[in-house]
Amino acid sequence: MHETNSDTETSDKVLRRTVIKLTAAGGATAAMGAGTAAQEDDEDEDVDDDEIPVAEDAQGEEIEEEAVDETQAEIVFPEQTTDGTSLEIESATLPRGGFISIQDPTLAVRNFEEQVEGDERWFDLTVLGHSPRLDAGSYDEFTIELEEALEESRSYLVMLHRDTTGSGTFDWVASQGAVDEAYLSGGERVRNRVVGDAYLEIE
Amino acid sequence: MHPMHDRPAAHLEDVELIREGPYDEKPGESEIEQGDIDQIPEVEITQEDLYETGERTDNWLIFGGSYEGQRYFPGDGITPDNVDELELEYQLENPAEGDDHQGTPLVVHGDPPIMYYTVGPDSLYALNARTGEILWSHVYEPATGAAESGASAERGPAVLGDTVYKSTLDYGVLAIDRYTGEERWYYNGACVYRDEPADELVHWELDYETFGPTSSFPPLIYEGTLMKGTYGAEWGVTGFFDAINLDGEPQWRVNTTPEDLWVGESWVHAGGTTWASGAIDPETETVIAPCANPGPWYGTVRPGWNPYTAGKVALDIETGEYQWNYQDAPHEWWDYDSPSPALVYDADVDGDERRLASWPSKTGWVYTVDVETGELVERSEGYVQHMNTWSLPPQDDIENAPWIIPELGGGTNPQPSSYHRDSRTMVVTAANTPMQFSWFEIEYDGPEFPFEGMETERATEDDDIEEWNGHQGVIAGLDPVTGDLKWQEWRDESQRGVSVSTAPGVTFLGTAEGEFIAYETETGEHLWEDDIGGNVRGGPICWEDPDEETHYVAVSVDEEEVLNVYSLEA
Repeated sequence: MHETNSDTETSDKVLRRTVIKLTAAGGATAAMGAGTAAQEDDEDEDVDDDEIPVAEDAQGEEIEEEAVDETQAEIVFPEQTTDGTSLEIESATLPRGGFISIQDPTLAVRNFEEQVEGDERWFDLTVLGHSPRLDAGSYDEFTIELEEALEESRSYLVMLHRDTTGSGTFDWVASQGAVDEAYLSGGERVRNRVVGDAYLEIE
Repeated sequence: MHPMHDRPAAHLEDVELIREGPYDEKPGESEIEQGDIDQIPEVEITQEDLYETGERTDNWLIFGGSYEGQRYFPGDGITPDNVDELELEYQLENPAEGDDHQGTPLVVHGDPPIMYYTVGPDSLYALNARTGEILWSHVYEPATGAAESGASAERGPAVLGDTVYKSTLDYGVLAIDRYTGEERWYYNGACVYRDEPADELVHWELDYETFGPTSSFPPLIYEGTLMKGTYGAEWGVTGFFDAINLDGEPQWRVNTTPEDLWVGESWVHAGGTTWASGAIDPETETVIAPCANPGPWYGTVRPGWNPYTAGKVALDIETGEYQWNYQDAPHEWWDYDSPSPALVYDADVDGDERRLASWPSKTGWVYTVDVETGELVERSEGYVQHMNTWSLPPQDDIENAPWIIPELGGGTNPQPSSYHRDSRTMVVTAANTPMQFSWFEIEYDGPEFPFEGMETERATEDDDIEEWNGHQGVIAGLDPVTGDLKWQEWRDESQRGVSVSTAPGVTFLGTAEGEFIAYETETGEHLWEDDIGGNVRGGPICWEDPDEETHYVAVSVDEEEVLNVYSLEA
């Protein structure tokens, strides 16, 4: 079916949720469910450590490495309406803790006039924000505040990252993807990064 | 500053490994048949002839009509006033059923002129260009055969001296005696892959039957170097571009997904193959190679710009060193590779005479860059509709995916365009069909399986898509320097025709609906047309036969599996 941005169809869209679960086997399932994406309006654009959600089953950093199954990483990112300053994540599991980034990878092409061959700006251009450091565990219904508001209604991507440096700061962009890499699912030859995507209607 | 400027040789693979391998051993078999080969006159084709062919009227020696690939014919014998006097001189029926006609024939001057004509898979014919009589045939059968599921296109041979060269579907090159059809040598480009020698003649990751509709690259020969591309971006192949000498010995190989420009191991199955055709700028001694889409199609597994995919890479012909890379679609998700070859020309830009390269893209724009730097000079007006372009495909949700134009076939696919210098008109053909894209996770599972991870759904006329004009194709004339559209002809079917433009302002073009049309180049007005009954994807050429005082136009008709040759007496 053709999907437009008309008011009527947008209203329908808000009532749907796309639920994407990435499994350890690398398969993906999608399910549709009713419900309105909850959203918390918060005028404070700065990340406040006090607002970091608490994992329901946080297991802490003392867990020995071999005991952690990283392939359990998953994220559910619902379609939603937002003012662009925050995102609701329906659920996320970060077996070793880490970060959630919000990305629009198509910005690399859409800014073609500013394209500078091979420079370092891909990560700067396409990564629009990230969560604070989250402890290991699973989280439900929480909000990520963005320092710069999203302005355009379109599909966005969220990615689950490990804190590979243990620094507590998100260094994936600054390192050009060399550290704080994404959680991975999949097999030996190609490993998929654990992501979710959803259409965001910006009010 | 691109990091490759500091180390332009960093993308070169270890050619010594190829030299140590069975690079001269042929994995398939050839079948040669000879007719009246005595008709072929002895004509030594020189490097100078290759330089001059774009200015000569008695031959067509290079795929694009000249190194610069303008598909411009300088003869003034066929004009807007007399083009309607063209008549069908002969029709060559397909010598072998099921072959694919996407090629551009070459014509070598002489009495009679001789045509060298490829059809897929891996067949080469020498014809008397006056009569269509087949003088010899050389049919190569790759060891793994050719795919039945898709046509294996052959885009054309190359000639120099007394040899005709063709790429093969198993990543090789055949050098063939122009007078007899007999083999001189074979270059085995699959004996080493990613700097890893094959266990046998062909590396296992390049050894599959699904060679598919992608094809062989028309070789480019310049000052003793023969260059050719590769294919297989949909099968997890890492793209490369080969140069060999005219004895079939490897010279250099470029990895078109340079390892250290990609994050982690994402370069390994990253596509970026160089499958369609290219162009050469003799002034800067640069080859401009096309680079295909990255793999897999969804981008989450390969963060970054993904150079050199979905664009052009310019290389120094002698060394293979990096010159520049322009990506039509960096970090691409929609199969918008950049197969249509660049054409090179001089033009005035804001008072400065500049050397430019222009190409139409699957993205539905023409990109014009400076040949020396790759810097973008102009992106044209869109010549197709752009609908939800650059929308991120959803995961596992094709039902709710937005309709997007261009579709995976473009815009403009591998078909080259022509350029008429006096009127500064480029004539392009394209698809204009909406498509839905939805990605899903995929693992590389060997060369027999597609490595795409994208579900697609192409719109039909029954789909009610408000913004779409309902035309699946378009033919357009535009000024690539200003980017201004001059004319657009919306068509019912997706267009894959190749154009050729003559000096007096006539552009020949075959359509998907089965017409061979002569357009007035600058206005798009129809001057003449012939109902040829089927889809045309081959490249028309023109030549004059001075001994017969006759002008010729040839075009292969894909769907009808024929080669039509028209003539007009001078």
